[in-house]
Amino acid sequence: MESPAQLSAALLPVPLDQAADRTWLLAFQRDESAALNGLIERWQRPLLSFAGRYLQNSADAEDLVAETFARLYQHRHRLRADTRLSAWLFTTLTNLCHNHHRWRSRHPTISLEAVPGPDPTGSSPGLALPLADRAPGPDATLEHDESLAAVRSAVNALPHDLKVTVLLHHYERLSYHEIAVIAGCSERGVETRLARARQQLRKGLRGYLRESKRD
Amino acid sequence: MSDSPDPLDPLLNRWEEPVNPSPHLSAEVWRRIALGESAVELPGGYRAGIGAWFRRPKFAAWAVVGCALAGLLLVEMRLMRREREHSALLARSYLQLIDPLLKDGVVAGGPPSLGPDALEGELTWIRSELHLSDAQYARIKELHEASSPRLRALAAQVDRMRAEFVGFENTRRTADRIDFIEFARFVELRRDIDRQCLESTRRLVLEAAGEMTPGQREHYLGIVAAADPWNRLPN
Repeated sequence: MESPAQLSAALLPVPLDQAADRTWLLAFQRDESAALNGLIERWQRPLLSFAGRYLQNSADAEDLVAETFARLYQHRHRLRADTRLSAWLFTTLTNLCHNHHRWRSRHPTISLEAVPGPDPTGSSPGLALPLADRAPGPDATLEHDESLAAVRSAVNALPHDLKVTVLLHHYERLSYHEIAVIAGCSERGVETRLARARQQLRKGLRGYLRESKRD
Repeated sequence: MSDSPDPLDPLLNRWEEPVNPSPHLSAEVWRRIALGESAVELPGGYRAGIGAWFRRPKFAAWAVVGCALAGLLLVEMRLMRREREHSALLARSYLQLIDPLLKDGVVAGGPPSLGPDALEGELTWIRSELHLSDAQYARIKELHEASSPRLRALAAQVDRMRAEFVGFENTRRTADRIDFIEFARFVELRRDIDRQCLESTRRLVLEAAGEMTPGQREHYLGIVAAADPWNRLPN
């Protein structure tokens, strides 16, 4: 299990310091190889987080994030100094995820991560129970796992545009403006997409919403 | 994650996706970059290679400039070819005008007119083609006009000879008979007229050429010789 400090670090939103991005980008365009490593270091976490949620497969997510950085390298001389790196990276990654998702839907495989099942010893590697005294009981853990699976499933069932919007807004905390640039629509369009996404999620998760109200 | 009071948000917040920086990601990115760059050099990956070259702004710019220049060159070549064809047509037309033997059907375009308008048109072309001065043009025009009655008379004789030949042919077909003595006279006369025509045309060409500078003369004789289907004229 990860410590709370590790967990909170892992959940940090996208880097907001654009001046730092610009500095890295300029160094990158001067073919300083350390600059790419710096950008990878800086951006891999939000990108992996987004792709992980979109694809629900960490190996695929890592693969596409690596491809995004490789493309950033290939296009480095075409980027303008005022390019918003977050928008460029998320746009590229979003497109790669969309293509990959469509390819997967035509070539279905069974993910070992998505359906964690109990092993012969009775324990589940994905759902390892903590041994600490203050850990939630089995009922609470089971309920949490069920609702989590439902959330994953409901988000995954959203159409691409709505899924991207909800992931970028709710989990990556991007502004409407940034999402509009990535999704290629207006800020008003982002608002509409978000409302539609939430409506569909409420519909798909209504059973769990009632439970959370009771809680 | 969002902290709004909407009950959906706490539910969505349950989906934590703790991400640990991947120790292999950087190496994997560099591996892909190296692979992409080496694909440029592989003979099998020529499409990717071409794509990679075109992704370089300098190369793409040079390629665009090269294509534009090649296009302009092609257009220029085509225009030059058209101009050459046009000149050849005008040269044949000029020769028809000064050679009575070419009057009928030998050169495409039908019988030439020996009128002053046709002469004026052809000489205007000669003037621009050879860059003749006003004096040269006036003298050459004068020469052509002076030979015009002689050429017309010869052309009329050629016409008569052709009609006579048609008559011989009709007699041979219908009566299956040839008056050989008469035909021999015809052939002799025809040879004489041909000789006169050739002599007349040669004389006119040489007289006109005599009014030109060496460069103009060479060009003029080249044009006339190239247009002559029987290679009889001086070059």
